[in-house]
Amino acid sequence: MTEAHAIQLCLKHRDPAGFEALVRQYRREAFGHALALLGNSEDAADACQTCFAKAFAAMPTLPQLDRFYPWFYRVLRNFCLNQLARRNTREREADSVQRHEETQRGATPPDLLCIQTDENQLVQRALTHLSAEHREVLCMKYFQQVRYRQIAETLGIPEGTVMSRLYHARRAFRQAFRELADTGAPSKGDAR
Amino acid sequence: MKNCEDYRPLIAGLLDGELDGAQTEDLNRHMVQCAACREEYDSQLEAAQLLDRASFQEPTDEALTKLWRSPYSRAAQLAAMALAIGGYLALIAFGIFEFMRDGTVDLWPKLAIAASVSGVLVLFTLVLRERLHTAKTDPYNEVQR
Repeated sequence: MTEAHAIQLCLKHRDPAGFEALVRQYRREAFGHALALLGNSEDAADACQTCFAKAFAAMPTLPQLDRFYPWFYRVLRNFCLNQLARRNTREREADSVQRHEETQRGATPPDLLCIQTDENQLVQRALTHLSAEHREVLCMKYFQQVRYRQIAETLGIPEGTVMSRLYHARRAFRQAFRELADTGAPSKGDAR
Repeated sequence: MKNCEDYRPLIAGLLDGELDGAQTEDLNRHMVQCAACREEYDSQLEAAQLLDRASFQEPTDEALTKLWRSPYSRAAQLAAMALAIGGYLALIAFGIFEFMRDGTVDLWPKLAIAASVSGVLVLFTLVLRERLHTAKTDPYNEVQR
């Protein structure tokens, strides 16, 4: 089944077979993006489940849809950013002293993306200290290995902005990595 | 006239092989003369190499399958459960009704059955009311268990 045919089945007939085909095509990508934004696989799976359900309900109300994933990604991204905002609020309310001690001890970060080796652990921890926007663009570039054009299309921004965002993201990443390698705790330069 | 700040994002494009010939030439010409931008190129390259070496942990097929289940299969499950429970309840109600109508049975067993059925119905109503009230007012609705 082609993507266009699957989209038509969803838009006109609310056909679960069409949606199933779209989910099969994009679920790996969606999971990777949710993981990049949220930082752990359990939250990423929950986000994907919720957003697929939202998308299935919303698709028949759309007048037209040329490509599924850029639209779905906006739904997923908004959901993940809302989750992050809620999580940050909860964390601020939680015992900050305890979290500070855990950071100092080098507590294991959430299972963001990498297979555990020493350097990978540092990369992973550095990534969790970046802003969601920076983490998102780095994950698209390095773990999903897509070109600027595809990143731009998914994020709905010009290619020049992708280049600029990647530049700043790599700077922030390198700084966080260095600080973690040197002291075990990065400064609060690139807040989540 | 471009300054270093204008050239810096292009360094990312150069590393990623996303610049065209003219942009590459322009940036290289600038970097030959600018030590700060050459240093920035090295920093970006170091970050890129670290990220390139990191290994992506792929989600399993099982985890991916759980991301979406067709809502119609869930609806079918609920419908089947409702039919099964409804059938049992109808049978029980029919049995009680026939028992009550039976003229050969004494009054006392009938009253005892009526009392126990009424008690179960009242208890069920109370539990249902409490559940509905909790669902409306529970402040921990969004807490994931």
